[in-house]
This record gives sequence, C-alpha cells and structure tokens, in this order.
Amino acid sequence: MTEAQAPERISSTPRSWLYLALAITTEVSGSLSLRGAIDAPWLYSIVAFGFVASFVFLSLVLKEGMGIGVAYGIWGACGVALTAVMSMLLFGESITPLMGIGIVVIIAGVLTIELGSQAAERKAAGHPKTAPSTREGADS
Amino acid sequence: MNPIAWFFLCSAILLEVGGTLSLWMAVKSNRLWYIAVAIGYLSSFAMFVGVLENHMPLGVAYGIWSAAGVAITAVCGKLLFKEPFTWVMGLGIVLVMLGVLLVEMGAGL
Repeated sequence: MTEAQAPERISSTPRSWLYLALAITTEVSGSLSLRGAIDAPWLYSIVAFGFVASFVFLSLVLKEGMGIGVAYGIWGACGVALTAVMSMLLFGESITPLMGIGIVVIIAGVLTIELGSQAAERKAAGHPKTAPSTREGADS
Repeated sequence: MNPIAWFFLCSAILLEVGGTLSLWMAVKSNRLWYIAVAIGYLSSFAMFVGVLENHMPLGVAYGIWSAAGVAITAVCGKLLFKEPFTWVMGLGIVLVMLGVLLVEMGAGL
C-alpha cells in the first residue's frame, strides 16, 4: 500500500554523487588551506568551514542511500588524489611517477567500486531474496 | 619508528572509523550520534599528532591511516549495517587502498 513512497534505496542516486563531489571538494579545500595557513593564518577559517561542510555533505550522501563503505572509500581516496594534484599546482610540490601511478590506481578503484555497487543494486532489485514481502513483489 | 607511534596510529584509525560509523548512525537513527562523530574525529586527530610527534613520516602515517580506514569502514559497513558488498566492490576498495598508499608513500621515492 506504500508503493507510491520512495523505495528503500541501497546504493547511489545521481544526487548522492553530487553531494559526494561536494564533500570531496570542500575537504580538499580544507586540507589545502591547512597547508597555506602556515603563511596566511586567516586561512584557518577556510579550514574549519571546509571540514564542517564536508561532513554535512557526507551525511547528505548517506541520507541519499549510498553505503558507508562505498561513500567513505571514494571520499577518502579522491581527497588524497585531488590534494596531491592541487598541491602540485598551488604549492609547486612534485608528483613522483609512483604517486602518478597511485592516482591512476585510485581512479580505477573508484570506477570499480561504482561498477560493483551498480551491479549489486540491480541484483538486489531483481532478486526476491532482498524483498521481504512475497506478495507485493511486483515492483521490481 | 618506535612502537608508541604505532600505538597512536592504531588508536587514530580506530577512533576515526568509530566516528565514521557514528555518522551513519546519526543519519539513519538518532542525531545524538553526531556527538560521537565529533568526539571520534577530534580524538583521532589528537592521536595523529601523537603519531607525528613520535617521528613517523607524514606520508607513511597518512597513507596507512587512510588505507586502513577505507578497508575497516567497508568491512564494518557490511557486517554491522548489512550493506551490499560484492567481490567487484571489494576489488575496488583494494585498488583504492593501494592507490592511497602509493600516493602518500611515493613522495619520497
């Protein structure tokens, strides 16, 4: 009887990816500001704002139904990769070949996680095992 | 590297995972869990300062911290919250961990 309500989502929606991108961007801004704050102490305000905003966006990601393992893995890894790239651009820090390989591996990992979670979502949607009600199973 | 640094590092990782799992609880059940999120993350950072004060290189410490955090959070998500987790997703998590370790430890190599 509650068919019109939003179904219990188990994985990503386009909006959850938007929030995740914002969570990553704000976290990277916070990390980079932390590095810059050594020379310019006013940047500490950006540090605080960036990290708090990042957590707000991360909780919105979870609210949208993305799993904590997937969300946290992508958030953390993209933050590391993006911070390395931005540190090179902003602070002239070098990226060694090994770090470059690491960034490529992170991107491959994130894509693999997303592929896997999409497949898991399809499987759950088409699988009666995860739908506890047997009579109203017509929504899949 | 002395054992105290590793003790601090393990504590930082566990506190941070606790904070992350609390974030999930805060979103899904009770907002009071946000207090646990704040405590978990702030104490994790305090422990991390302890790691650096005991002369573990920043890249090594941060790489292990991030990679272990990703892995433990994924496992806890599956065990505690029954999140869907396939071997493809597991492979992705392993790749992400490897990439983080390479980026953080590859700085000096």
